Amino acid sequence: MSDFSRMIGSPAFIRAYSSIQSGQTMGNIFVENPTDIPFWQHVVNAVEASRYKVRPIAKEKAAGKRTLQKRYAELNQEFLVAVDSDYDYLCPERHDHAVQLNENPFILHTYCYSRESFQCCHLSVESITDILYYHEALPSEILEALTQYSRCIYPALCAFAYLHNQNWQKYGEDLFKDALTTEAAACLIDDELRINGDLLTRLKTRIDEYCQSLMNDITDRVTFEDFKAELNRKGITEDNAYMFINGHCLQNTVVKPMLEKMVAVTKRAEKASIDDMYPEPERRATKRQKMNEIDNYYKNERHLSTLLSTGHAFCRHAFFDQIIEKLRALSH
Amino acid sequence: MHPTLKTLKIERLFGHKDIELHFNDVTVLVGKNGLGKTTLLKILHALLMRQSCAEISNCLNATLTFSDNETIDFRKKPLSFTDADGIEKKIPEDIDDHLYELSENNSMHDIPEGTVGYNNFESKIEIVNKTYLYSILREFLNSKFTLSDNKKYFLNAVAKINFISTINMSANSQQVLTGSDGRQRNFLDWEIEKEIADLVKTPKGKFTLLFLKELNRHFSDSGKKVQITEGLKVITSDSKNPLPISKLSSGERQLLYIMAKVANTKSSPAFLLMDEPEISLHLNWQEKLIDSIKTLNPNCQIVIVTHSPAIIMDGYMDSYVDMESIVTGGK
Repeated sequence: MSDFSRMIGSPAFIRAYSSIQSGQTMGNIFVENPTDIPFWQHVVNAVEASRYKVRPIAKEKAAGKRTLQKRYAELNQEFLVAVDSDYDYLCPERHDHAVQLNENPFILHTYCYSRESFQCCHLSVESITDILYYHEALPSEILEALTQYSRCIYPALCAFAYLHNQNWQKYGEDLFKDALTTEAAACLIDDELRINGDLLTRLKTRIDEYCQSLMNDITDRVTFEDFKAELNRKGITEDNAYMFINGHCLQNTVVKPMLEKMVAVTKRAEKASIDDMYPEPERRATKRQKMNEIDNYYKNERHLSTLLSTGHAFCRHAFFDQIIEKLRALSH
Repeated sequence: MHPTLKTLKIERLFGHKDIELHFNDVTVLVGKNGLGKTTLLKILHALLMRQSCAEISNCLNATLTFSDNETIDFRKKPLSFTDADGIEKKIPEDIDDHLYELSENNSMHDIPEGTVGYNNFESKIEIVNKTYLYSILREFLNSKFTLSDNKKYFLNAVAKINFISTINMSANSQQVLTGSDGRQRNFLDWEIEKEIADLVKTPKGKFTLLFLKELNRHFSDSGKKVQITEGLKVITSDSKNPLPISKLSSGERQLLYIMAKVANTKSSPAFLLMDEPEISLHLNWQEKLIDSIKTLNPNCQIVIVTHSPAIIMDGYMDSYVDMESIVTGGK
């Protein structure tokens, strides 16, 4: 390691640097890229906001993860890193980085696939659906649909994680992701905002086939059952299995389409009710104004990507508590 | 997509060092004193400008490869003379002989020797011709650089190449010049005025507004605001009268100069080489420096030599390269 690398990671340097910069002695928590800062700032704020400064290690995500991993061996109480767990938590022996993530006290990680998994958890989705209307909220089965999806993928997740832990290159993430992905433009809830049973059935058939192909490769069933018990001990259950698929995939192919459907259906119902309220031709201008109000409200106040990225209902999630616990142990 | 810097290979720097540097969009060179960081930066500048300098003369070969795999090559030419002192003596002698021949062929004979007219005429010929001869000499030296016509065009007409040495900037701020109008200014202020001249002419221009926004993001720390109304004015929170640039702190003037220099590249493909830009800047400003440059010109590839971790602390920890790790030959 070069003198420069050694210096920027040394506790004395970090303490002196922060004192000169802000007058406060703070440690550094490096994250993958700038977009990760708000999530990890929630973690720091939940423990002690002035103890650590959250900094991006790089500007680009892929480079950021690689750069963080290179630093694993140099970490200390003043120099922490915070990363998405990906499959490193579920599959702790898959490679050296996974071993370090699970054993190094100075690596904070999400305990589920990524921060997007938190943004799409039941708590986050519920906090969004609670406010996703202008005049009147419609009942929806969006949370049940998410649970059904989760139960559907759980057996495949267990089989995949077991094999991936043994040979991460042979049992790659991409195949798993492809098997779980819903059909293009498909949505787990229908126009009545009820569970789309047909889609779930088709999805289950496809996932079961994939799962069976994995099970054929599992020869030692006793070890597999032990592995599943270990997953369970880590808090992975049928109902939160969805938080262990690729976070972007979860957001873009499962949760966001359901929220979009909810907006479309609710908006349509609200506009129909305006239509009913102003049948007279002479009140056409008022009607148009009311319709525009609805459109503008959803466009400006209920922008889904913003709601997903700025919400913080996940701070009540059990996995979030695990992060807090790990950071709290380091803070003093 | 314009070509960017990909690799710099230097052979036998100071006779014994081989260096291979792979560039990123932002490359920050760090390392102990005396390892050749500034030398490397000057060699890179010499290659981009195709102008010889003392540093590049200290290596045997240097090759700069671009992202399109085209190169600029510098090869130290083996000279036919065996006696270096002889060359140094011979070139000025040849120039003097040439000047003598010129004066003989001119109408100097008609002017009485020793008079003012004679002396003026002689020195004029000498200056004019020496400049010409030196330019031939420079061309001879420059011919050591080989590159395609395509790359020549790109570097001469498209790309903006800037080298900023903060050490020089700091020294320039101590150099007082007296203009023909009798005004005294230091050299750095004169350089700043020159840099902002174009920006001031277009106060509502896209690049001027971006320059002001970025500068004011930093200046707000000290309650100052830069605006353009009949020239560049610095407004302070505790004074009604605008401050002249010369009254700004050395760090503020330094930042102003760097920002103006980058703003003037006007989003063109640019290469910005900076030697120790951290001097005089607070840690907060050092941390935001690269981001500010990238905001002003996203097409600017940056190579920085520094001793300050603050330069890379806010998102550029993947961009630094230790000099010791790129010396591939004998140390």
